[in-house]
Amino acid sequence: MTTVRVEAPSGLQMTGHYRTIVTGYFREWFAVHFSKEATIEHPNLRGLLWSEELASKLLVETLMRWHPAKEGHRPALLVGPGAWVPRRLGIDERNMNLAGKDGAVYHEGEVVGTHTFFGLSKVYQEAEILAGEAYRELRRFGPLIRQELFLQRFEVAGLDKPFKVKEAQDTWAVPVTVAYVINEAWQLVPHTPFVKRLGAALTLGP
Amino acid sequence: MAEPGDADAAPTPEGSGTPLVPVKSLYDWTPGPEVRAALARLEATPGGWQEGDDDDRAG
Repeated sequence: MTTVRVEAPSGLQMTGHYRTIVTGYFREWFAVHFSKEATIEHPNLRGLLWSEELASKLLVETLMRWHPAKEGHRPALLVGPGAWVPRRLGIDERNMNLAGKDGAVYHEGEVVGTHTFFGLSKVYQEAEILAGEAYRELRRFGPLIRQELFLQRFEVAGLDKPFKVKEAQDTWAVPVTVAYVINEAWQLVPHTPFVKRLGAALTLGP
Repeated sequence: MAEPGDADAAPTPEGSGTPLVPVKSLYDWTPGPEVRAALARLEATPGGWQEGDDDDRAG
């Protein structure tokens, strides 16, 4: 069991949840994990340390920043964002438990999101082990990830079947997908009190 | 490079030379049926988890 501590991303506190922040968080998590032998569980992966150097034996990157022509020869762990789908919790997404005297209307909903991690290598076993390492890390640290990303829920949905990559010849990919739920809450505050607006409407009416 | 007979070599139907292993784009890849089922279970469970709840609460 490794212990990796990643600081909670301050961007979340400033902006709320954006998919790109979550992607960056996961990429950073695994960059830290693969940067020290002591945190890598599988012995066969300990020689594959990640670093910012171009000569780094392992690439840890987001799917959008991966250049198969330049980097396709290296084993890699890629982080790919999946769909984010909003989910209603009630009528008009209203939170009926909260009612502001100032006429504010409180709303609440959820987003179900996914990210997929791809273990890539020219050698099938290596791709499997890379994905397995990611799977175990995400399973074990799931509660911490949920806490740090302010998620309602976080689960490893599964380690999927291997395939060969279209973009990089003779490269195996093994995917691990995670799913999570984000709470969204917001309030709509009227510029003027309701009664004042009513008065204006009566004055301006025909 | 994997040679025929290696554990890493993609199996081919006899005589065809076509690999049985699917070739997919990383950009278009979608989860397989088992993982999709797990995702569907999560999507069908409103309310999410709160701190200290157990897994059976929402089911």
